[in-house]
Amino acid sequence: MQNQSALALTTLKQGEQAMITQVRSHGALGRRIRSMGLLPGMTVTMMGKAPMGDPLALRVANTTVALRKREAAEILIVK
Amino acid sequence: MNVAADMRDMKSRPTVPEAPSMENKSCRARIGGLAYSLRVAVAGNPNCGKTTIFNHLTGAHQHVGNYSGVTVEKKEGILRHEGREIIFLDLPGAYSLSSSSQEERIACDTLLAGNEQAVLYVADSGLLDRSLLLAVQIREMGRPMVLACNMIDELREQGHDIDFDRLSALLNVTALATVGVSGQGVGELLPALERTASAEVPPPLMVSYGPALDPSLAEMTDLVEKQHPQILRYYGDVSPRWMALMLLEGNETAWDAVHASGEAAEKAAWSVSAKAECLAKAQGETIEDIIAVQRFAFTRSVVRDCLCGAGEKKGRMSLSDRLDKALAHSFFGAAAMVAVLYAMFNLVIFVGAYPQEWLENAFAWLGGALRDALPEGFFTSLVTDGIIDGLGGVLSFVPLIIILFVLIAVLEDSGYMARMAYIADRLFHAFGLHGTSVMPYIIAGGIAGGCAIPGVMATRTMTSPLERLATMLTLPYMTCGAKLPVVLLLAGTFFPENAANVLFLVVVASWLMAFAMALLLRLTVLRGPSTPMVMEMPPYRWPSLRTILIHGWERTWMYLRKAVVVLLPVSILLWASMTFPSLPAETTLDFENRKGQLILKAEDKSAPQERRDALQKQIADLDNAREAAALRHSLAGRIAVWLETFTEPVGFNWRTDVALIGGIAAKEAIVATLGTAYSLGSDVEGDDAPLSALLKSDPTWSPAVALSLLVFVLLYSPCFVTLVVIRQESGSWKWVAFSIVFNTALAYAAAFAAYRCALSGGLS
Repeated sequence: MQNQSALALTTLKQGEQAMITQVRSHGALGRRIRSMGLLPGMTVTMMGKAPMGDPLALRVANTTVALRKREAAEILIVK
Repeated sequence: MNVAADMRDMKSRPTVPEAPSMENKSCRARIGGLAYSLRVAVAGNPNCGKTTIFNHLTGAHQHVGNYSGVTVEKKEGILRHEGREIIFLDLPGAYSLSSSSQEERIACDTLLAGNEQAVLYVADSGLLDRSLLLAVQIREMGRPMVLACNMIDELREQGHDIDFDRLSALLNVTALATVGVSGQGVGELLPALERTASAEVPPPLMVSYGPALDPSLAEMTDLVEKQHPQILRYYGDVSPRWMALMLLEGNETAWDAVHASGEAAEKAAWSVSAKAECLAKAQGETIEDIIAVQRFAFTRSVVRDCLCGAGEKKGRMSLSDRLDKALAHSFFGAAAMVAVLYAMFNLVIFVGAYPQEWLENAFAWLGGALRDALPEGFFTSLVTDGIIDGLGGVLSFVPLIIILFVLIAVLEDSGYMARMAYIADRLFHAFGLHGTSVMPYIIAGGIAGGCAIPGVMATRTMTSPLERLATMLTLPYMTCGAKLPVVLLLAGTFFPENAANVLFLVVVASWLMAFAMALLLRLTVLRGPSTPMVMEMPPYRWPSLRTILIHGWERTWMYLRKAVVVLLPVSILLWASMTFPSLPAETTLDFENRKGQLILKAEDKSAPQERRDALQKQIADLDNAREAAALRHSLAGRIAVWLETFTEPVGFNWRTDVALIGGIAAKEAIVATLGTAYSLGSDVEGDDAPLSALLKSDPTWSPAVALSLLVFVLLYSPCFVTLVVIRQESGSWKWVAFSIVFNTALAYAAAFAAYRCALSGGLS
């Protein structure tokens, strides 16, 4: 599912929507991220950023999930 | 997936549960002969209203403890229903059974052990697709289930509904509608649970994981079921297919079981798993992704099948989103958080001050009454100064703790707590802490006047173990309410023009110190990777009063039980060390004689009034001098005098030392003990003027000493109750010893630096 135009989730601007193509985190963290609905094929919306730009608030599967940039950088998207 | 890493891991963690007796193959039979009692595990995602339903079912008949070896709360509730006893076990909220956090591991292990005859699964109806992810896993495992679709009112308000018959059939469960807050539908859960538990165990749910994984899954299932059935012997009736799935996913618990089943099983399982991984890789995917994507696709198809209604109205997220535009805003959000915390702090301190004062007065009255009623002597002193004062010290905090926990429960249940963690995370993360550390810090006195005891207890809401310990060990540096009198006394005495600034600087210094020490701890003794923040921010909701009250009560009760059991002996010990050895007989006699003479003179009616008043004052002075002499003569006094040599470099005399010793029992005791040591009587509270004047005129005191003492009091050993709570929450005396030794050493070093700087800066 590698996509040439895939971008990191962190590049998404507030209010923008995109589709997840790949989640590169593995192990316990990977399973945790996936269990929140952050999965390939899901639509994700950037809701906003916390003070000082980290963590991010994401809308996925009808819920809001807070995720630090470091973890969000491991999630790839296409706009 | 990394099987090799998992295999390395599991060698260090032999966590396979005790094997139940082999003849009891069915989980139904394994309840110690109590055929009439029914055990139910309550499972669900965090924020799904699980606790509300649990509270509705069991009311106040709850038992709260910890799961062995970890600090995750274990709650059990008992209900009597038509002559049967139903025991509910409230599992920690989890999103999956992949054991990626302590909570999920516990939920998974409990369900695997199979001691419960039925699972009550609570799902958020508005988020049915994601909520069902965990339900599906439990059904894949093979557990019988009653599915409570909670908060159905929110879904119906949006114009949707659920086809419960269809949902029940698709998952082979009994699906029912509930509204936890009002209790609607909760009563129907009991008969459903009894039916489910007494019926035949339904076959485990089969979810297809697609052509990429199904062949490997079949192979692994065969291995677990037929070739090496000993893998399953630890678990009550777990579906072999589920075990196979967990192995392919690289689940640590499952691999532990394989490891314990011998080398042949381990080798075979490893080879199947490696092959599956290769197959997945060939398609450019990972097993984790395949499982997660397929399972989610399954729950979404179930929801598509069962959801009916047009859904014309806007989703419940819209109001929540509008609130978040302000409350989670990158600038206004932070301002709002400070405002909320400040309001909360004021509520706790000002509202809590009244009952606290009543309790203090009640204990003072009780002490006074007993002192009058009982004959003078050591026994009376023990009862009044030792036991009553000690108990009063503990109990007077109870109102503060109740209010605090009620407010915390409001913040948690309303969904705002998650926003606070979100907003504060960047700052706290920089120092090796976590966004969820913000609440405990604030409670402990981040805004001057809090209390470390509920602060340490509030770390319960944190799920990351290292960050939790770092928070717990550094929050006693905060300016708690009991340190305030010392700060006010010293600031008022030695820096009268800048008293407010001194207080402000003290608060700032306490934060800086706490952050610096948290960072130090995380780089040394608590070294380890930071826990990632993957946190749901649930929609804002009105919290349920019942849940909040039960929450507040049970935490308060826990505090009380522990604090009284440990603090009582300690306060008696402290009383004894400040009382014994008592003054020698001739000194006492000398004091008595002088007092007698003064009393005789004072009773002489012929003397002028002023003369008699002066004599009365001399009598009081004499009593105070005797108290001071007794304190100096006591064990604590002697230790303090001995300590003087060591505290001379930071500028403390023995009087300060003995006050600091008293401060370990409770920081409130510092000013009172200092008063006694300066022969003012211990009753200096409310009127600092004489003590302040004395300190000013004492040549051993100076602004430099005051600064040094301020620094020392801010940082040194936490008080006894805090230490008790640290023991309770960290589960180890090691961290108690650490807090005493490390904090006191740090306080000494910092006070020394402050003292020397002040001296060279001309503050003598």
